[in-house]
Amino acid sequence: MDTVAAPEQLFYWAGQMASLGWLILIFLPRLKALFFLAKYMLPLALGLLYSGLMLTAYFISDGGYGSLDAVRVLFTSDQILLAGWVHYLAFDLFIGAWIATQADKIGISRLLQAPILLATYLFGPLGLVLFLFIQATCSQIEVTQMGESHYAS
Amino acid sequence: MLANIFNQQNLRYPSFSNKMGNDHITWLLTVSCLFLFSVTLVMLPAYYFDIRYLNTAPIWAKPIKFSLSLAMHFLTLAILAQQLERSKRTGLLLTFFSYLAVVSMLFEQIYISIQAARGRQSHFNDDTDFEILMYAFMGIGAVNLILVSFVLGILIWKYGKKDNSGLRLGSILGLTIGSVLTLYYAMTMGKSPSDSHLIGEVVSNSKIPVVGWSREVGDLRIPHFIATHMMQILPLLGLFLDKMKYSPRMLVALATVILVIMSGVFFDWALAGKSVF
Repeated sequence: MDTVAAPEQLFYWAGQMASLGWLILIFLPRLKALFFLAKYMLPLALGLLYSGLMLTAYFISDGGYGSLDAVRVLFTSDQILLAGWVHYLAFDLFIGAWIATQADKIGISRLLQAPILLATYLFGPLGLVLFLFIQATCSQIEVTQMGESHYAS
Repeated sequence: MLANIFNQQNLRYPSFSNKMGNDHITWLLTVSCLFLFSVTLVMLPAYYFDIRYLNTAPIWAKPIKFSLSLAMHFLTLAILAQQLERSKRTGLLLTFFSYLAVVSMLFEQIYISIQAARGRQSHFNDDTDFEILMYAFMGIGAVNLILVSFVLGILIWKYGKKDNSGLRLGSILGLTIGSVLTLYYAMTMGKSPSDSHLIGEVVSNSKIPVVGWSREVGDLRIPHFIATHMMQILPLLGLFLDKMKYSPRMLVALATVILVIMSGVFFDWALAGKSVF
């Protein structure tokens, strides 16, 4: 399967994009434009890359979603393997941005957001569980009393 | 971020009960506790799936014990800090030591969990240069975690409402004496000649359930446990006796003496390689 760019090259670019997003979420100040880039622009770009890869390769693959074996066959294609990876990057980043937004709303210190976001960056669902448990516990209390203009929405 | 920290002092933060202040320090300590419970939760499936052992204990037992006891530590700090007025609670001193403690907590918990996952020891590990360095950092982190409780105890003593309650006395004694003794026992344990919290020749490896203390040889974790949890026992006892109106101050003082002697005796036994149970 020939693609416009080599999968290694695309893998590198996708990784750079995702890392930029996580850098913004974890370390940089909550500026509206920066946050917009991390929450919408980068997942959008990664999503478009995914669409290109997957629509080209999925329907001519012998694999499928039905069994572990079918999934293994699916991932024998470099292009689908890359698409799968980009899927992680896009979804994890978007979830990370959602966590950051919600965490700002309930006033979780950036110091404590950092490990939760880092866990989401590296181990997606694990970070999500970390945050959901905290949020579920906090849902018992009023969350609107925070100074909202202070935080990115 | 620095500007953020200072701006946040005047914001109203959420709180779980109207007895808890809505300041950033109370909330930082409360969320730290929630974070640690959350960490415990994600480690439970690993505890179930993972069949590996390290030093005769399931590999995830140690990080789970740490996250639970650190959660209790931060909850205690959040609750006992309410005896201070808001201005003292959010003052520079407690703000500094609270953030220092949270940074240290994150370092300790993450390092202990990753080492467990790799099947490596975190404490008493001098296998590689990196692990020796990390063990030293863990010592510093542990001191920071104890410093905040000691400082809080002193602040309550100096600036808390002087109401002669058992809660006040229990908080002051528990936080200060508990911190000092914990530090002393933990440092002795860290320099233990056997390079382990156990002292003596382990043969049958008979243990107390849950906490995992040895029934066979000296175990330095027992005095450490008593000293550390004085920070919860004494304030709770004080609070209970206040409600019962049953000479709280005298009984709290008596309980303090008993716990100090008990931990001292068990410390002595552990060093002599003698089992408590």
